[in-house]
Amino acid sequence: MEAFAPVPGGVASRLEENERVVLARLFADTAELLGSPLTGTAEDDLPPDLATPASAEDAVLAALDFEPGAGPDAPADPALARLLPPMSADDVELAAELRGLTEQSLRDTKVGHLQQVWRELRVPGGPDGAVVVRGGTERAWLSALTDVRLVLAARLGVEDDADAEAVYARAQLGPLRSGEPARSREEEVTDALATMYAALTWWQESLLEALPFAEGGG
Amino acid sequence: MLRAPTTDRAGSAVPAEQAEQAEQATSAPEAVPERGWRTVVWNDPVNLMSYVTYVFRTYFGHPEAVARRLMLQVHREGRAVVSRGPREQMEVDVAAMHSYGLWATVEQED
Repeated sequence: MEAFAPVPGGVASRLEENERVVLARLFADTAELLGSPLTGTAEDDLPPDLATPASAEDAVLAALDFEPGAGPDAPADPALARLLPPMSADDVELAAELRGLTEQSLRDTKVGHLQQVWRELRVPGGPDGAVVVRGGTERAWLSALTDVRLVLAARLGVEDDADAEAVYARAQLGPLRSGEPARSREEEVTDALATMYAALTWWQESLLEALPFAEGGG
Repeated sequence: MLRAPTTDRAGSAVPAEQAEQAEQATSAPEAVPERGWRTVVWNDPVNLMSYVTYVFRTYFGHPEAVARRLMLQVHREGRAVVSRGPREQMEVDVAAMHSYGLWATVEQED
């Protein structure tokens, strides 16, 4: 996973193929969580060695345990609740009223952003297969990246800055674990989620830094 | 959707920077015909400081320095008022913040 860098028409980043495939599924699964599965299954695109049911990526994505949910109340699923948070903190009736008025539109907007990124991840349009964030689409990309990171963080139980720091620390330990006694499947899955979360955080930061205004263009 | 700062007229949404300067100029509570509303953005452990600054700059149209100051207030104090005005406009702003992945709520002014 390379940092984003300017290319004609936008900024681009090169990913390993397996990274691109896993990320595409992550974005598709988040759209499904919001109630709108993206057309075309990722399984169609998986290279043979990643398509086996017992692959690590399958276990990780299964652990994300998506339940779409819908209704006038705040979603029960903590990840979905964070994507569709209450619009009032102190007036339950107002929050319910505003949720009824705005939630579907918000879901649709978020799915639109996720779908834009998903399409580029599935069929990268950049030089040498790099994924490109074309000028004018950075808002969709940044919002979609945020939503995917919010879901991962919810699954990892991140509730405060200390929890987030622990996730980054866990991700950094990943490569150092190869000599340790075998970890449980659950621990391996959590390690993988932490690694994905840290990688996506870094990737989003690199996108922000690469955008033209970040160099003081205002 | 981009939103440029509006001029300061009664009942319209006012960028937080101008509203806060007006507040600081008086020590007595302002007499207003009815309580206005405000948009509050809350801190969260996931959002990047650079991203929150980007949102405040591109959605509210704030200069970089103002956007960054508001972001730091969210980060350090746990929340910041980012706009003020009629409830309907605050609802639009809150929904927009949610579309960016921030968490915001509407509040009535004290």
